[in-house]
Amino acid sequence: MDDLTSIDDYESMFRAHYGRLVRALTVVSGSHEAAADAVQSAFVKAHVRWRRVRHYDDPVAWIRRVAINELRDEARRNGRKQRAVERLGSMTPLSTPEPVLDEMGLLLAELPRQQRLAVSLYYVDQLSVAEIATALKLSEGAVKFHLHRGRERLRTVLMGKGTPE
Amino acid sequence: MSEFDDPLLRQALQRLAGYPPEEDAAYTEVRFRSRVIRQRRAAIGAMVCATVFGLGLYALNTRPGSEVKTGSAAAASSTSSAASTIAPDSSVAVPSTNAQDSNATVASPLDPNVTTTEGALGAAVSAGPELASIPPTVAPEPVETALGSQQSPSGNGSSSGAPSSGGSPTAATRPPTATHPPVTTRPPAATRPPVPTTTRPPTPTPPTDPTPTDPPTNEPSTLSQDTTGGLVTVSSDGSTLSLVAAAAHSGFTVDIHRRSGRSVSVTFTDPSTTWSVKARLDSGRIVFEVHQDDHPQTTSNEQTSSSGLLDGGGRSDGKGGYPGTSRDAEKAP
Repeated sequence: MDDLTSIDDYESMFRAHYGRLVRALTVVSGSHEAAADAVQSAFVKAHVRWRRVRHYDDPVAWIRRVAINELRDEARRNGRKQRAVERLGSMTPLSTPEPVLDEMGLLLAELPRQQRLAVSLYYVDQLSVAEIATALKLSEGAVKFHLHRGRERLRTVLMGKGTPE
Repeated sequence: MSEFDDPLLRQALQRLAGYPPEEDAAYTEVRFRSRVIRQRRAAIGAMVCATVFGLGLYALNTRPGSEVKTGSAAAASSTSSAASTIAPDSSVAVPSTNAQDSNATVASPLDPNVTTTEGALGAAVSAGPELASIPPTVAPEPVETALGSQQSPSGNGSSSGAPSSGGSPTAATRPPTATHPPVTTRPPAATRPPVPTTTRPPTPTPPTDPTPTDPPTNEPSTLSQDTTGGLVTVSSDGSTLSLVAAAAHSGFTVDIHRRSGRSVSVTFTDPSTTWSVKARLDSGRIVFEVHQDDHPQTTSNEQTSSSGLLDGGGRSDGKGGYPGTSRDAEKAP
């Protein structure tokens, strides 16, 4: 019964947070596939270690942190691949990230990583400042600073183009 | 309401995040990947366990067996040593199972209450499985003849352990043979050459070290050689042999050619055969040489002439001047 309860808890947690986390990390990475892979890897690790993870104070925060790390590691790997290909003289990248066509996406890509994470987790995943601070291992003041700076830069786009449809 | 709430920005970012992913397919994929990881971990764990088990077996197999055997032999040796310490209430020393142990001897009881060594041996054999392994090791041993029964007229079966011949006992591992049956067995002695018969005086001295420092050549011993012509018993003090008894069997006459010194020579003669028994010292050990000479019918003059080598008269009938000879001759069948 305990295993069944654990599985049910895991599944319910998965269904409650998977989509939100994927969408938030999609905003951060600009690639839905990369975000989905990172979040799936995080949930797989949580499933393998579920007997231990389920006793954490906030298992979802642990999964979120793992997903963010996975996404960062994947971005680093892709960067190394890209640089290696450039050194070899080939201009064709091995993996092309999903393009973000609109101006909001381009501006997001120019934001620092911490600001992107803070903005996406706050506005997409709808986390509180404290939850974002826990996920990013930052203080709440630092999270507020990143949110403030990120919103100010994004609002310039929104004010210039008006309310997006 | 937080200070960062911005519906326009939220709406823009939600639109940028795209549509929600399929949770069912993602959940199935997560379960599958988790199961693969668990199976891989189980396989790795099994391989590690198998490797550790194999390494353990390899280590056990490659361990020098001599060490283990040495340990067991040492244990057996210590057991033997401990058992060979003749306590007042102990009866039989446990012989070592090591065939090379020259000190693997069966000690006779010093307890005067114990009547026979044979009984002590029986008790030792029945004492346990370790002692039950004694017979294979003592089976090929030379026959030990009780000297006391031949020398001491008072040998009536009481094995007090005191030397009947008045000799000073020196070896603790020598069993008293005063009341022995004529033949008993002894454990192997690696440094002792095979001797036909051995008779040792009783030695009620305290037990000695398992590795004796005294060479065996200085041990006084008495040996008997039984032939068709008769029985010859000689004793040695390590450097000199002396004839103890020469008993001719029925129909034979005994001629003693040399009764002390480095060798002892005795001849048993009947009308058809001459048995020459010569005992000599070889590295401190008594070695018998027996020769049989078949000859045509000889006259008694030859026997007489051969007996003329002896000092003292009347020995041609086997009842000469040697003390033990006449008595043993009377006992001879």
